[in-house]
Amino acid sequence: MARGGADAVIAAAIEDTDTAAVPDLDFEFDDDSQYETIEEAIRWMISAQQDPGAFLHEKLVWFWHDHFATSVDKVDFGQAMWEQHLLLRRHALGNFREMCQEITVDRAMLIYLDGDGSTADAPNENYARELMELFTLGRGNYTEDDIRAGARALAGYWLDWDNELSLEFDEESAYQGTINFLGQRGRFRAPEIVDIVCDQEACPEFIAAKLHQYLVGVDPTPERRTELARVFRDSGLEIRPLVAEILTHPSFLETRMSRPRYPVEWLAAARAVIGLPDEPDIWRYEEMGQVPWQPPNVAGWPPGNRWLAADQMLHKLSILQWTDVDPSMVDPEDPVGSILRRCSLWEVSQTTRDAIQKGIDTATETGDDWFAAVALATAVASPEFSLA
Amino acid sequence: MNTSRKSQGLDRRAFLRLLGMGSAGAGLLAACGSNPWPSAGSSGSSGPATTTTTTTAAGAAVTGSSTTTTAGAASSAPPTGARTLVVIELDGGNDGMATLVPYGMARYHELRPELGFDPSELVVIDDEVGFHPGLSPLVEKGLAVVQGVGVPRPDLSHFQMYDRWATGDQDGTAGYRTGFLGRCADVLQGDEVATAVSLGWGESRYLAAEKALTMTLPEPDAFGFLLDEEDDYARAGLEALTILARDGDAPILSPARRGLGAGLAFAEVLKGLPEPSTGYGEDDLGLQLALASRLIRGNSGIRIVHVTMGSFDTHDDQRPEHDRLMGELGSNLARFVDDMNSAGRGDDVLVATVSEFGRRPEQNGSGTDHGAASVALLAGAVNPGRHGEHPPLDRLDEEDDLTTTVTMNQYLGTLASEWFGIPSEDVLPVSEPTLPGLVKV
Repeated sequence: MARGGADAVIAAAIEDTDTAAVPDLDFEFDDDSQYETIEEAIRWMISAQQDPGAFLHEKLVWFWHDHFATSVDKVDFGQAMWEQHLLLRRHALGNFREMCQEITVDRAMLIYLDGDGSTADAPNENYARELMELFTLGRGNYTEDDIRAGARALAGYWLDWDNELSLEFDEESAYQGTINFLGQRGRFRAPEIVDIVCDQEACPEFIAAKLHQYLVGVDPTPERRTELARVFRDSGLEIRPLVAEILTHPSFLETRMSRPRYPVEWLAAARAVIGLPDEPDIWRYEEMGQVPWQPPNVAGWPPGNRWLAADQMLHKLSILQWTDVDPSMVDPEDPVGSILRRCSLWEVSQTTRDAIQKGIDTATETGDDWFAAVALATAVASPEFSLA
Repeated sequence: MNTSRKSQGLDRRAFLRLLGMGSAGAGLLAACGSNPWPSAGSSGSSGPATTTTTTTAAGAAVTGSSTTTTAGAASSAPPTGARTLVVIELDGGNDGMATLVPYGMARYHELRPELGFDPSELVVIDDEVGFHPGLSPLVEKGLAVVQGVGVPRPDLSHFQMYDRWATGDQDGTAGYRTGFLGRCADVLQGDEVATAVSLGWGESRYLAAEKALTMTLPEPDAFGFLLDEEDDYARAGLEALTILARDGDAPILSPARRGLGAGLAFAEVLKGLPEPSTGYGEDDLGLQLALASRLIRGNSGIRIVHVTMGSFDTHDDQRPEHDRLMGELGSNLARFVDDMNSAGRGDDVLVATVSEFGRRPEQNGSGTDHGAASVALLAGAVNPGRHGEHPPLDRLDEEDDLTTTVTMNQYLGTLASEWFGIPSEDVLPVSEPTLPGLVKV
């Protein structure tokens, strides 16, 4: 692949499918033993991202988790979280509308955004609001009346605690009348609500722009956004053609170091470079503020330069503090160059080169082998390695 | 650079663009051949993207200049007695009606048939209102409450309202790139290492500043390893890091370099903090206030501390959850006020809460939905008791929410001008009358 030119690399990426060996996990219901399995699941999700074979599919799985952010802290039932993860895996490069339909009645989501037990008499507005604000349309494309009407139409689902939270629908709690929703009038239920939302002009625009930000690192221009939305809409909200359109555009290769690596991205790359053992340390992810299944809120992990802040940068430096690094990673003939190559850093500032050199010099003075650790730590903590 | 190299570079770049965003492939790729781009220097010209296509707040935790970020820079704290503000953000939208309970107001029990409190449960102030029982230890230390705090035109989205509060922009139209607390820090900034700090993993958009160094601190021991002079790894790393933190070579690299520099300088400050005081809870708020106390008692130079406490988004099962939160708030803040008093800092530390909105007056099942006006609590150097007007419960707004009687702009303006002596028009979109007699001056 590496020899086949950029187009071939990207073409291969676009064809990527789920190749991860998904484990069969069994979570005990309402029992503290489930927490061990939850940790196992989190560790596996991290490993899946770090797998040398992981490619575009895995990135999209993470994107959708961030998009439909759901926290195990509130859901508190590993089985439901795991099923949501499998749902995201199934649709990661599939059809957005289908994913949206399924996530609307996904048990973890019903718990997280309070759809569980919502009735037409006292409809809970949480999911209706976030469905439009964060998941499909973005602000300005619906009214508070749409939220209230949507919440009523979505009512009726509940999870049966006596039956391991099985998904139930209670016709008597559902709304029997007609509503006005996003300019349409009818007797709508969840499937119609999701369809109407996905049919809005704003939906493909919103999703295309967010995916562009994630993959390219910058917002698309208004023209580009319209173009991407058209591709997405014309394909019937198929995700793969949209991703293909983003990746095959010249802007994808022209834009470099355009956004910070999120901690999960940085840790995956740093761990690979350093050669850390397969079993990931969840505490590092906690320390850096990004643990799968624990988003800060329903909006997911915020983008921006906070991921380059003081604390983040120092955590990066600490990654090698207690780690044995094989000194043969550093070529004595070209110590800085060999470190940079190992990190796949091809465009590096003189300042960063100087810093790595200084680390090697100071460490070498002590006559110890671990100058390799210092050099690697400096490289992975560098600004260049911190950007995607 | 010849053509073949260029095309190989493009292959690599395609790979890196795909893999660099997190996958392990980068390391494997490194083994594939020699460096096709040996030249030094960054060709990037535009800064990392800070815009976002979601409505999420994109906080820039470190926004300081590089001039104060030299490793080992001595901390020159402000004179002891410099006023400090501790802002506690009640994340998720705190139910004002379950914090200061308007038990004696018309319609209260009709709106809250199950969630309502009986006066016998409350710390009664008068025949109209009483504090939640969890706040009682704090009431004993002196607790002030501002009633009806909200915005003129409410919005019910967490993210929209969080944004307005964090940026100090009640109408959401001012277009601030900085946070309200960050702008205060810019004015207060002296020659200390950092002026404002956000504790824990809370959002730090409040602290985004133009000049002042503001940062997020997960725990006091986080970066201590760096300053261990006995540790060769730390010493070598520190020297390398000092170079890595030299800002000014390329704008695209600048945020990360400043982050490194700020971290180094602040690690030095943390090294000199006094021992923690005892008596705080083991919950997040307790741990964070214990750290806030160390920063203040240790004259770290910090003038603004931001702490996030959550979650107050009580759509469901509100009573037990909100009771717990009020209990943690009451006991930890009471301890904090005592701690500051014993350290002789009682007169120059003010604690104030913020929250993106209140809850809807009418309960919804066992919880409450997003609402509008709420209450703000203040402790420390305050005049205890009720401030502002409680919104009437029998005259709600058109969305059936509480009306605003004190604007966010007035409330934040009071913190800026009455407490810090910063004219509110310097840090807020408009100047409105402040609340006289709220804080001790």
